Amino acid sequence: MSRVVNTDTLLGAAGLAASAVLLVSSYRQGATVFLLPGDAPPFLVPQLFLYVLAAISAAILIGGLRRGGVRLDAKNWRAIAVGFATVVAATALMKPLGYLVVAPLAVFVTVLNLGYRNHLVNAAVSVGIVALLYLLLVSFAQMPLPTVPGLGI
Amino acid sequence: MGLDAFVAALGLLVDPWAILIMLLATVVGMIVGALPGLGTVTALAMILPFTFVLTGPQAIGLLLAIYVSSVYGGSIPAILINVPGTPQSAATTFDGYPMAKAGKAAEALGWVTVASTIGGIFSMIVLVFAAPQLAALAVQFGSIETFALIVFSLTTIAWVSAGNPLKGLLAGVIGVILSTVGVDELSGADRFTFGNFALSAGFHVVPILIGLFALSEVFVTAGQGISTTAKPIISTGFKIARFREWWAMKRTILRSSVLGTFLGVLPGVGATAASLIGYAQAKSASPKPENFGKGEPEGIVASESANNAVTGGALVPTLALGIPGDAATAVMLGALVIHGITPGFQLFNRNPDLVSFIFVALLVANIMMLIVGAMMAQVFSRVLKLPHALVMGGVVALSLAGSYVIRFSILDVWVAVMAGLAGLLLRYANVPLAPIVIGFILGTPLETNLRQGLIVTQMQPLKFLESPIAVGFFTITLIVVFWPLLKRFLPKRRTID
Repeated sequence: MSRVVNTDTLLGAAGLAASAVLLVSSYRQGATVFLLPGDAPPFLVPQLFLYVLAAISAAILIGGLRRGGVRLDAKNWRAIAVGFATVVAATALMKPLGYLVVAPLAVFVTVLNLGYRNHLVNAAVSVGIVALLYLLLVSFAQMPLPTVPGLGI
Repeated sequence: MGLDAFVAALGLLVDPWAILIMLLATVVGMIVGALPGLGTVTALAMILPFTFVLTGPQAIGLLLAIYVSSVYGGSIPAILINVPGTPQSAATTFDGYPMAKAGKAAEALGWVTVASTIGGIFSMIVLVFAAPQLAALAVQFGSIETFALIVFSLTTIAWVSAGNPLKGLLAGVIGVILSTVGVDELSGADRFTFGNFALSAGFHVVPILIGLFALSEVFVTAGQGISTTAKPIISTGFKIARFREWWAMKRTILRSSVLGTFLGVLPGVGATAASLIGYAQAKSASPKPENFGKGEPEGIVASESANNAVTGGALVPTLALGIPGDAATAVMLGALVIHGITPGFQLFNRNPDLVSFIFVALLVANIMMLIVGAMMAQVFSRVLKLPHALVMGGVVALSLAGSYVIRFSILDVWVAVMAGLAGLLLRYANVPLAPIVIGFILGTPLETNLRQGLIVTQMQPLKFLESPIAVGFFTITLIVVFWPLLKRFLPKRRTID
């Protein structure tokens, strides 16, 4: 099984699929561009590098099939999924709810997900870090972050 | 560097804000460098958004201080808990931790700090003399020669990065492709935007950096779990050895500083290799090699003066040619461009005061590293006691805010999140991440110069070979790529036990 499904075969297949999709897209978009005589086409470099990407991906895929690679089973996938979902949710909610509401929650859940069990310290640090960052960025550096509706901060 | 330019550079440094910012950056750089898993590039990526409100010199001072001090900071946990904070300090564990276990942690920190400072200042002196010479040479470079130089640098960096060279090359190519997203400046055509107007401006380097290095570290930490049993930290202090003992190390310091500076100039070799090579050279030249690995100060001095000497060396091609030597200098290059400073001959020609400021700021950053390192050694042992989960929480808060404030766009935060996921998967597949950043930063100049070259040669790429400089770079590139094959045909050297 590890001969077919391993990091190298997955990487090679993903690289091949991505290069194929982007090459098709580049040829479609490229066909609509008007070029003056002597101009270098806008998709020349992307296409050149996409072909190189496809060739390298194919080599990695074949190498993975021949030699086998590292299996992706010795990881705590649940914790990774929770960590990723936390950041995705924070990103999705940052604009509607504001940075000062979303970020402390994201920090708290991340720290909890990483196994830290002192909830009081976790809550204090989550609020403290975010407040400090907010002061630094918004008050000191004048760089606005998404505000909490109704509060304006 | 002329006296006038030197005085002007000192004038820029007289700004009390610049000094204060550099001092704070030195502390932050040491802390981030000392926290295992973060490192120099992450430190630079996370601090980059804060530079937008600073003046050019202040931003340069901040980034240089972070760069220099984070490389040094990695050696603190290497000595105190036998875990290098950054890969550059791996060789420091060999003798640093045995010294600390023998009750000589204060002495070990003293050796590390002073050796790092000497290595850093040595490479700064080389930078002062070598960068203008190299920049003057670059005047002869047209678009074809610049394209060939970028191909050479990118290929070498990717090929020699780490592990499988093919994967390094794959990472470099991904970086170049990412740099082509958005509206093409020459023709105005939309590229890979898939109808999304927000993508027309292309990707910004900061969210990609934050995702690849900071957020992916959070996900990797979640995947491997955090050990609840903290490593015992040896109580510390700071003690500098007598001058007589330092004088006895002069050959080792000089050898490692020269090695580190030279390896820093070469694309892709980096501080990790420099410190390991410096250590190996010191061991082989020592009359008592059996003492290495058992708490020999010469081992610490060799690795630390080498890895800090890389900082100035890597800045030589970055400033002179606009070609970064490693991922950290790639971030520095990106930051300079963001602040409207384009490295290369024009920078030396038109803005000598700023160039001199960079040299002086590098010197000041190294001196600050010595002072802060000496004064805060006790504090850093406490930083290492911070629960890693809380540190990662801080990384999440900073990543969300840092990627947003670049262009005040939520799309940039999404880019950081996706880059974080990609970084995690690429790390599991043993793909080095640094070439992605270097490919991304060099992608635009590579494309511009290739297309200009094609226009000049009326779309005949073979005419590129009429330039001897370009032929030289292409030849070296081919030798680097095909070296593993060429090695098979070379007569094998007999190994001596």
